[in-house]
Order: sequence, then structure tokens, then C-alpha cells
Amino acid sequence: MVSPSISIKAEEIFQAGGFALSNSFLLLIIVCCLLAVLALVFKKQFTLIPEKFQAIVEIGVEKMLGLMDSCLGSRVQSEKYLPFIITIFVFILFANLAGLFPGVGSIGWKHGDEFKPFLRAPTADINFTLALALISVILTNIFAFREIGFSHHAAKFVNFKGPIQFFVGILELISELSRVVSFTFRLFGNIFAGEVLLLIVSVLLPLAGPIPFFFLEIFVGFIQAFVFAMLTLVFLGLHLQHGTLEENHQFNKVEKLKIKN
Amino acid sequence: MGDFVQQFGVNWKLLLSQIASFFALFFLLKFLVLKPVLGALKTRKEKIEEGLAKAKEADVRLEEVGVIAKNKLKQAENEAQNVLHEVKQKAKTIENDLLQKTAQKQNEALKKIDALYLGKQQEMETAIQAKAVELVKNIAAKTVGLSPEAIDGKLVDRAIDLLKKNAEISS
Repeated sequence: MVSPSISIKAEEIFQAGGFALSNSFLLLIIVCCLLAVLALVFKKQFTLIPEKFQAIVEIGVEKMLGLMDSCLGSRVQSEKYLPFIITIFVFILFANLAGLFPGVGSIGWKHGDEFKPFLRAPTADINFTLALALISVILTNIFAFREIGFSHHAAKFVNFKGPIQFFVGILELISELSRVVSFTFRLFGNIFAGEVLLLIVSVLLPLAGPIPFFFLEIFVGFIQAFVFAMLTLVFLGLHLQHGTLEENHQFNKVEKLKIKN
Repeated sequence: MGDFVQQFGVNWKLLLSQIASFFALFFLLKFLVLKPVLGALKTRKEKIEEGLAKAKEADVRLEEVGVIAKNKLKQAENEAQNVLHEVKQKAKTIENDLLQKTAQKQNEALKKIDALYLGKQQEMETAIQAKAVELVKNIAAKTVGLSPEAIDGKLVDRAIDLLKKNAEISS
């Protein structure tokens, strides 16, 4: 009998031209293909008068737009950044749920004393969470550069107006880096912990034992996807708002000078 | 750092592949799902706004039409009252005319009847007079045995007067 093993890193399935394909990346490719098919079907069946599936998608999009409105403060901005936030949410949600499908983590091959599964939840691989964290942090900063101007946004991190401003800039820089770390390990930790929990429960109480935990993991998967997307949205909102606050400050200064003169 | 990378299996090639897959999905969702959905939502919103604006316009028009209808109704009521008043007045004048004409005709008829009655009365009186004269003549002739021509005309006249008086008393 092969004892269940817990590996913190994704297992390599095969190598092709120096590229090591891991079991988590394989499942990610499957998830991407599934989403692509769903998107194509959606586009094909799209009508102005929606049917069930389209209506559900439209309700989701409208709810997300409402959330983004409250965070970004304008519908134009919300519509502009909706694809970015929605993609993060959908990508993580499907990656999380894919890890709960039967066969994922349970079908594999024996490698010595260790059991290596063919498929593994993409979010239980740090490469995926790190990639998403980098995308989130880098893109929010790029959007901020584009929206409020390079010098404005860069002044947030590198500021020589005074020692306090300089120190605040360094702190901001550190906070951006810490966001990458927190994003990466929050998602990875939650999903990996869920996988470990399911494995242990299925060994201790086979068949019916893991069922409640499957529901818990579905919930956790949804919540983690939502949290990741919302945090990205909040950080994006903060970057864009910082710009408008600075602009307002400058505008007030100019107005005061005008009044004085 | 090296230990961390080894322990967690961080692989820059896999990292880049994940990033590439994210962007692939991003463009796929953007162009196949979100663009049509946002377009549809916008179109629907515009249609709803247009519908609401039209409904508002229709409400305003309805109110205007209501006011016009009220005014027209009032005008019609006033006109009807005027017409009724005029008709009543005309009816009264016609009634008065008719009454006057009727009274006139009645008077004329009464006058004609009176004239006719007087004429008939005179005719009857003359006839009665003639008959009385004849009767008196016959009586006198029978009682006296004289010719009627010889009878004193005065006696005859007295008898006639007496008869007249008697007739007046009896009537």
C-alpha cells in the first residue's frame, strides 16, 4: 500500500526542452481550456435578451461593477478595470474548485515510496500564487502610473522633499513588497491547508468523512478568490485615489495663491 | 532564499507560464465575455433611460391633455348653460305670443258669437213680433168680427208692449 504523502511543492510530471511541466500547471492548462470553451459557448449563445447562463453572468458582472463603483468611485473607472478584477476572481475560483474534483490528488503514480498525483490544485502551487501576486501588484502600479502620471505615482515611493517624506516613500515601497508576500502566502496557505486537511480526513475517515470538508473547501475557495480580487481592487483604488488627493491638494494650493494675489 | 526557492519549488519558467496563462485568460474573457456583456448592459441601460424619459414625457402630455379636457368641459358646460338659458327665454316669448294670440282669437270669436247671437235674437224678435201681430189680428178679428185693417193701430201697439214686458219678466 502506498502511504499518502504531503509535498509542499508541485510534482514534476515530465520535462520537455528544459521546461518541467508540473501537475499543478497541467491542471491549470485544463482549467484554462475549460474557461476558454465556456467563453466561446457564451459568446456564441449571446443575445440581447439573456437566457439562464447569460443572466447569471450578467448579474455577477453587475454586482462586481457595483462593488467596484463603491471602491473606485466612478462607473467609467469600474468598467475600465473590470476585466482585470474579474479575470483574477474567475481564474482563482476555478483553480480552487478544480482541486476538489474527483481524481485530483488521488490518481497518480508510485515513485519509490512516494505517491505522486497526476493533477494538483493550481493554487496549492506557490508558482501560481506568486505569479498572481506579482501580476496584481505590478499591474495596479502600472495602472496608477498611467492614470495619475509617472512622476506623481513615483513620488509616492521616492520622495526627496524632506526626510519624513523620504522615509514614508521607503515604507510605501516595503508595503508594496509585503503585499506580494501576503498575497502569495494567504492563497497558497489556505488552499494547501485545505488539501492537507482533506487528505488527512480521507485517511482517518474514508468515504463519508471528507464530504463536509469538501463543502468547506468550496466555500474557502470562493472566499479566497473573492478576497484576492477585492484586495487587488482596494489597492488599485488606493493608488488611483492617492493621485486624485494629490491633485486636489495641488489644486487647492493654486486656488489659495490666486486668492492671495 | 535559495532554500526557500528549493523547498517551495519556485521555478521562474513555471512562473512566467502562469503569468502568460493569466494574460491569455484575461484577453479571452475580455473579448468573449465582458465586452459583449458590458455592451448589452449599456444598451439595456440606454433603452431603459429612453423608456423612462418617454414615459415622463407621456405623463406631462397626459397632464396637459387632462387640463385641456377640463377646460373644454367647462367651456362646453358654460355654452350649454347659455344655450339652455336662451332656449328658455325664447320658449317664454313664444309662450307669451301664443297666449296673446289665443286671447285675441278668443276675443274675436266671442265678439263674432255675440254678433251672431244678437242678429239671431233680432231675427227671432222680428219673427215673434210679426207672428204676434198676426195672432193679435186674428184674435181681434175673431172676437170683434171686424176687419183687421180697421183695428186701431194703437191697440195693437199696446198689446205688443205688454207682451214684451211679460217676456222680459219671464226671462
